[in-house]
Amino acid sequence: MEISVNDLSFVYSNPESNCVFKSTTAIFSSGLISAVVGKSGSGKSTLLKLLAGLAGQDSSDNQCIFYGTDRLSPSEMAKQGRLSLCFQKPACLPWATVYYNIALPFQLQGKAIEATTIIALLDQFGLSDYRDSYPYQLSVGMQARVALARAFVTAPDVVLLDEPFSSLDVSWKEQLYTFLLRAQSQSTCTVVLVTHDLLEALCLADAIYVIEPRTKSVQPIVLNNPLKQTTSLFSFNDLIANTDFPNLFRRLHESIGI
Amino acid sequence: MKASGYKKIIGYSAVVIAICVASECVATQFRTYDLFLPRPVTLLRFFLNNPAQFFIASIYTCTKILAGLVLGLIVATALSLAGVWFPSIRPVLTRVTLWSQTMPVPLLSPLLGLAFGYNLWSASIVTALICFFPVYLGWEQGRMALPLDVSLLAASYRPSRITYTRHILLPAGFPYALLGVKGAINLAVLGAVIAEFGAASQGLGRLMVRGIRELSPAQSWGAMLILVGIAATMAVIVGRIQRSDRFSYIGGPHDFSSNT
Repeated sequence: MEISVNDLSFVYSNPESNCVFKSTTAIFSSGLISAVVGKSGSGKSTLLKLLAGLAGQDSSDNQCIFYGTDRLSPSEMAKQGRLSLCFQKPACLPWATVYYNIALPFQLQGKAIEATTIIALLDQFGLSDYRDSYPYQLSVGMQARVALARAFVTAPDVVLLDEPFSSLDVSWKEQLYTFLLRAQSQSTCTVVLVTHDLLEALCLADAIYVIEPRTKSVQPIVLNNPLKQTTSLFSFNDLIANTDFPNLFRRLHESIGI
Repeated sequence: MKASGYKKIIGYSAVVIAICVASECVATQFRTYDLFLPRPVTLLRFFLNNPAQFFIASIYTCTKILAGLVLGLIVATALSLAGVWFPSIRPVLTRVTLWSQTMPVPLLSPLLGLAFGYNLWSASIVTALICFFPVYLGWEQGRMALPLDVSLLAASYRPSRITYTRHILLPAGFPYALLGVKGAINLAVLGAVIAEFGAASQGLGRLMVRGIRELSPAQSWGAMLILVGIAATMAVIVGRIQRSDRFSYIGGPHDFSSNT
């Protein structure tokens, strides 16, 4: 499902807050992982909230359109359960087991829990042994896996990821990148990944966008990322050893305005 | 039972026996007047001579305490949910609930007796009015401690009001409401006894009043000891629920209220 952002402007209702987006336009291609990078406070998370219809509902419903077999607004996407979110913090429910944390989207949408889907995801994300554990019994990395599995459980058309790996160490990141790439390739959903980690963007995304601080707009920087890793071969070493890496990293670094 | 459980029971028993022995010694040594504080032996004799009287009164009072607690829990939950479902009335609701705590509820007891008769209803209403507040505060604490990420995540699935309440609000608030219930147990016992003073024909509260009237302090103290036992047992049961795996996060790093 393709996501089209047309002439989107947004400012928080707080009178002291600055304009977040000014007439910005972007297209996130169907079935690919698009990364959005930018400095802290540039509006990355706000963009995801707008795409999920959780902020500025009037402007987001008019200016963000999801194109598949039909044309839907963020609110319609959310109501139909075709969109899911994953935040920086795992946001696991502490009173529910891993199984029921992953089943939460079904419960909130008022649907019957698809046990076979959940069991398959538990297996895919290496959580089978922790099915009946509570989040407080898991490490941060395991909780991040639960959150990621939950984002894919309803087989959504669009997955919005808001820096879900930022609090993890390198080994956990490598594992979770593999899980993400595998889950995305199996479901062929469109993923928008917001991150401030350029390495993460370079190894996961098919296309990389930057939030330009000066113009307050989303600019495509890399559209066919040659560094994108495959599910079976993922490692940071492969990424850094690639001859395209220094140039692309420098381009991204300069575009962000660091 | 675990070894720590046995140790606890032995510890509690030792304390009770020590208190009994000490008070027996004090009573024998200083010849305290039985009308003020009956000796443990006198109390024990009274219990053994009137088992049916205490048993029936305990059943009556226990029923009132439990009915009052349940009613209080329902009132507290309803008030908290009303505040969430209708945000515009929340400020008024909070203030009215706070102001209700200045009400001299024990004085209502005879009036309720007149209105509903000297039965379970009037006692339960008085008990509920006295004990609902800590539970209400518990629900509110749970609601306010809910992290923004969890709220946003839930909102992104556009759940209905009922679904959101069932899967997020109630489970999030329940452990905190349990803390409130623990605090409310003592108030419920107090409420039930006060209700029996004013509007009841049976129960441990009635036994206490009758004991004072008939100059039989063993009867009053016996009833009081049973009330302490009832409150302690209920607190142990609630404590057990709190310590279950499901709620073990409370007080730990995953406790919402400690993160906010």
